[in-house]
Amino acid sequence: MKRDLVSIFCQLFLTRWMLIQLGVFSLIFKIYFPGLAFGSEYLIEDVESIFISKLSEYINWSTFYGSDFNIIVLGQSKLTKSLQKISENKKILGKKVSVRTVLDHEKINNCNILIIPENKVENLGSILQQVEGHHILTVSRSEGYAEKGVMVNFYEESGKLRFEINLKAAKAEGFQVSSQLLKLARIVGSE
Amino acid sequence: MNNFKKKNNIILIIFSIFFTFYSILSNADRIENKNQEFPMELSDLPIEELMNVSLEVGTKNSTLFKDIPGIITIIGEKEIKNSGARDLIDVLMQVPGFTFASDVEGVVSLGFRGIWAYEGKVLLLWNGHELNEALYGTVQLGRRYPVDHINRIEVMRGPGSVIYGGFAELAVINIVTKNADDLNGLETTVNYGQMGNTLGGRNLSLSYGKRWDDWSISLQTFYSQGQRSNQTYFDSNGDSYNFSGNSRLNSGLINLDLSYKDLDFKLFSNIYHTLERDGVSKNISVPVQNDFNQTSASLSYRLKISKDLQFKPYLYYSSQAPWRATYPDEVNEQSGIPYDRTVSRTNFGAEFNWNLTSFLSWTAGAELNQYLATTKIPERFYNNLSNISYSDTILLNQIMIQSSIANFTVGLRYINNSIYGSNLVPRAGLTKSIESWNFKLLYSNAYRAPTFENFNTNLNIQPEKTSNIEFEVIKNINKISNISFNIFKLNIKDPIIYTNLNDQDVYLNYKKTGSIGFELQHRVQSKGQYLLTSYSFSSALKNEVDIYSTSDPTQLVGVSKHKFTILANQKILWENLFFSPSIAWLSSKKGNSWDNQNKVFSMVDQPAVLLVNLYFTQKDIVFKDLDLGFGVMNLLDSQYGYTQAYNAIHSPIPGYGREYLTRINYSLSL
Repeated sequence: MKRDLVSIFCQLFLTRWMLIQLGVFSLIFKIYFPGLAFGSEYLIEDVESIFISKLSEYINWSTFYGSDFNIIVLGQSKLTKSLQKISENKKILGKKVSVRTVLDHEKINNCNILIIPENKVENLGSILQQVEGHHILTVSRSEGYAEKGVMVNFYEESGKLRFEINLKAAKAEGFQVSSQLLKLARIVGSE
Repeated sequence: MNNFKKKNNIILIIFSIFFTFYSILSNADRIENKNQEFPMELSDLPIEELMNVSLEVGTKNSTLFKDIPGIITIIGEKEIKNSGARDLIDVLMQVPGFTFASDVEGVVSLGFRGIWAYEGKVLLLWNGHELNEALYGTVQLGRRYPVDHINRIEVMRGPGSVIYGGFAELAVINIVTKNADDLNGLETTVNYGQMGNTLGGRNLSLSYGKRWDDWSISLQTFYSQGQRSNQTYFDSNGDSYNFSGNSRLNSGLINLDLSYKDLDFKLFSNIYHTLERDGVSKNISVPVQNDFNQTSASLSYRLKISKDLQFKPYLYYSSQAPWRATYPDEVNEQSGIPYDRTVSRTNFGAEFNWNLTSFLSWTAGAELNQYLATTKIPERFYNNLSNISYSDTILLNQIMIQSSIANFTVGLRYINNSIYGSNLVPRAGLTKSIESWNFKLLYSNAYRAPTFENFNTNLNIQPEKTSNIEFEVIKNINKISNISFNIFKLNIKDPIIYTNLNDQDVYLNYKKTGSIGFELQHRVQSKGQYLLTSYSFSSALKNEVDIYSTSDPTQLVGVSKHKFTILANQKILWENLFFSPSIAWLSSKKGNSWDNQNKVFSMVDQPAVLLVNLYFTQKDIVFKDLDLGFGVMNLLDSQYGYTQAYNAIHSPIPGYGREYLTRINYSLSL
């Protein structure tokens, strides 16, 4: 009954299942990464933060809270640091950009753009209710969030950043989205 | 011919390993060398061109809950905190399907879907650390694990054996604690509960979490003292004692998670001391201490080879010393079962997650487990040795296909146990969303090889096998509410059951048992307020375990067939004051009990019980992030006894009586 680690390790690698698995794995790997090529690639958080900083060029805000253009990230996210970097010397609609983190969605105030991380799925309905009627653009990068009412939702496709817009939700909050942006987006949610 | 095959196999192995790791390392090297500065050069690009920028690896492959091939319940930190829950019993009481019963020596644990699940049939994970001890497969509950440390609990109601192994036979309770980002500084919680004239429980939690660029740490500590109950217990002879002062539940716990980039180290240690007078056939004259201790650690590295492929090798070690009891001689004469054994598990493995195409993903893994048990008391195992060991090797494959017709999941686990040979465990799932409706049709098997004490008491014991079929439909009614309904049918073949023959502990394979039933959940949630209701029903199916049987063939010993729960949270009166009532109603159950009026010990109907809890939380009291909680649990002081889950000689262990609670919680961002 008692076996030492070496003999079991050998047994593991001599198991026919393992052989088949490794064989298939290596074959697919070879097909899938023929050149193992990596070009100029960027962190998704960096590209997304630049994207967000440009949204105001295509979406019309009718009112503001506070003297700054306020971006709130709900919870801890790598996106915060990227947004802070891109916002250091940038103005949005002529206003200085403030990026801050709020851990509890019930404490959101003075906000123009709200970033909702993906791990908020269980509270999403509650978060959207909280910001409803406050003219806040909601942004996320989570599958299915646009259908659930988030206005701008980023996603990855073939290694590129894409986005979808819930036009009904955006209009309900008084945002006007330019046709130029809509051409690039996937539209979700029927009006 | 055989030599030729073997030679070919060896060449294939060498080729595969070489090629695979070459590819991985080539990619890793390129990734590590990449410039991580913020790409200001992109900031002037118009959006159209930004959409052509190539993204680096790192996007997590997250599967939405609606696509997971399992019936899932998520309990979040706020629901736990707002409800005033003292421990996992309070939390899981609100989850459909879970009930609680007792074993021996004052131990309380869980049943699921009408079946006593304590003997290795439900897997409990704490941040990846397996809490089921590997001697018997059991886990003991009651003021043991700190719910204040929890970020969320993911309960997979239904077998998860293909991914999680043998203990995930009926369900998986995956507890995820607060990480560095969740804590982001210091957090401390103090709880105090008074149960009549007795201390209910008092505990202190101290946590720290912080992230610095590539480093992150979360360290959580907990110390608790408490009592099981303040109610009176009668043994099978009618002798009684009050649980006040005789049912101590003390626990200490440390949980560390240290990460550098994608390298992660986790450490977990728990010491659980209980006091009891619950002897084998009669009460022990003085309280005696039992210890259930565990220390475990894991090291893993998540290598992101591309945005679609991750490789994660890991190493896990766990040492557990459950049921440790060294009594004085006079107690030995009364209880007769001192015990001091340790079990360790060393686990080495790796897993791949690969999105082969936009619609096809593949998870594969290989794992090697080595188990070792050593004994001090009793001095020898069945083979007259002081230590015994076994091992298993595991290979798993799971493929998920997303299509416009539906999402399909097919999984297969291969187990080769050094004692019980090899076995295949399959699962298949179909999930489909149509507008606001979501459907899941699931079939899964589970396989659990006997643990040390199973085969130590019976060399002829064989693995138990479970099959389960379930169907779930979820309707999203609107943005803030949804309703879910699921039905299940589960069969356990050759269930491994504890019993006592001729005054000897022994595990036997009975022929079969099972259950059938349904669960219903409704959730309304808006602006931090919520109302969660659930109803669950189970009925025994083809049970041939005589010590589980009652006069009603649809009901097993110690199990309530019906459970109804409500959990709510609402803002009241003034700002930041929340009121969270919760209710659990459990229908009558059958079990052995001492009848003090007729002076007889027999199996009787134990009445339905209603547990009502009221809890208030005042947030940001005095200053920001200082929260004060207060309330009363079991307001009606209902006599909720944990019935022994099989036909034996213990009366129900008294549950928590009415308990007044207060809690102070403070978070300091650093």
